[in-house]
Amino acid sequence: MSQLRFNHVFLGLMGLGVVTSYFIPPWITRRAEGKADVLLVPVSKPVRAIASGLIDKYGSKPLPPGQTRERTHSEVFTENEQLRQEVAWLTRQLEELKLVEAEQKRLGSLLNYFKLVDVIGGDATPGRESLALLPATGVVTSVDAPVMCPEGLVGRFVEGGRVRLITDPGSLVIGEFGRFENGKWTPLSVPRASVRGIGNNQMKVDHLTMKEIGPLKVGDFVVVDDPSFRDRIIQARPLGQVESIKPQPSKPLFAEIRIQPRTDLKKLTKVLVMKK
Amino acid sequence: MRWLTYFILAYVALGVQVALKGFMDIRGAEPNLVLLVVIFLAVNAGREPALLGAFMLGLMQDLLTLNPLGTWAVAYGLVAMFVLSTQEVVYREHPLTHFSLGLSSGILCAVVLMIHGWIYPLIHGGGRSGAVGLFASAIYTAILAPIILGVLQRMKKVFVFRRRT
Repeated sequence: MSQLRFNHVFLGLMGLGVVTSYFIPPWITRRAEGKADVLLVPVSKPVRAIASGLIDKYGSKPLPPGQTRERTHSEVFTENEQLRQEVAWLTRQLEELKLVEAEQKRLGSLLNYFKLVDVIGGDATPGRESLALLPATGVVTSVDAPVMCPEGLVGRFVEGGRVRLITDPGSLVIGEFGRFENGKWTPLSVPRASVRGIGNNQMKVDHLTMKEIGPLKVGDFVVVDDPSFRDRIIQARPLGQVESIKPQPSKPLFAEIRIQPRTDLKKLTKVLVMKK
Repeated sequence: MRWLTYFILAYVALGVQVALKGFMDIRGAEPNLVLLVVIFLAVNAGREPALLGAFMLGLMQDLLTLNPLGTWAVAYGLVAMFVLSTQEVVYREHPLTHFSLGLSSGILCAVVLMIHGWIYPLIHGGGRSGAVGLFASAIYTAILAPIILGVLQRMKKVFVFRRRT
């Protein structure tokens, strides 16, 4: 091919790339996506398994929100003693908890509603957070269908069959703040919040005033309270824990609340997808 | 250029990129290993194979991301054009060349994606995606460039690069 003709062809290709990336609606271009991830399984699955094993063995374990240092042996021993006494007390309380158990039996365990599906890999763009799943039968993969893990909500399906994580920049879920006291969930008197993903396995809430979030503390939980999730089983599932609370530099009356999921969602190797 | 070898390299690079997502990040910065393959092609191959190869690599990466189809294809096409223009004036084997090409290409990609992140929500709605992580990613990629490009340079005979004089 002559150089001039190649230049025209390449210019055409670049022009086509600009048109598809800017002007074509996403519901058209995403039809092509979501199919190529499966082809990479022979490479991505073993590499991800090796990386996951190395991180589990040699990686540092991040501290939970609210904890600033590793606990000493004596602290752990003291806590163990307290827990033994608490277990003895809770055993006597078992009869009262049977009422709660009856309600839980009606909902069933998570695995009655969800199926474990393998994760092929993450998003190829640095800064974007999504997962590609191995195709599975008998599960709901329609747009906006929820995806879970044992620690809570992971994200939703988007066009193309990828799962957009709740920590992806721009992702939005409405949540309710609360904390666990003596094993019981206690909602806080804080308004419902729009929890927005900001990348790097973090989310934030920036529309509540410092006065409104009065009782909120680092370590408190945020759970799903979003009417866009039609399935009741998704409601009240954990989104994450409050990692930090501080006034916004540009608007000091408003708080910036950073929230982190209980696990690094990008490192998940299996997720729970709703059964049909 | 041997296209079969190119496709094998592209397959491995893309597979490793998606597999290591979340495992190699440092304070939110993630490396772009596919960009290093683009630089390797553009530094060594002829003009047409380098441009086409880079564009196709971008297209393949677009199939594995939330970004719209064409985003990375355009970005890598521009990177290939930039690196091709430096082919005659750089020492292809030198680690400093690899670092500087990795850094400048990473910044170029970050600018393209940032502009896309501004304009796309105006046309189609939705929130703006973050751009700070892209520049940190460029630095991380540049640090890895001397190692990965150094290894790839030792394998360049397999590709049978032929450059027009």
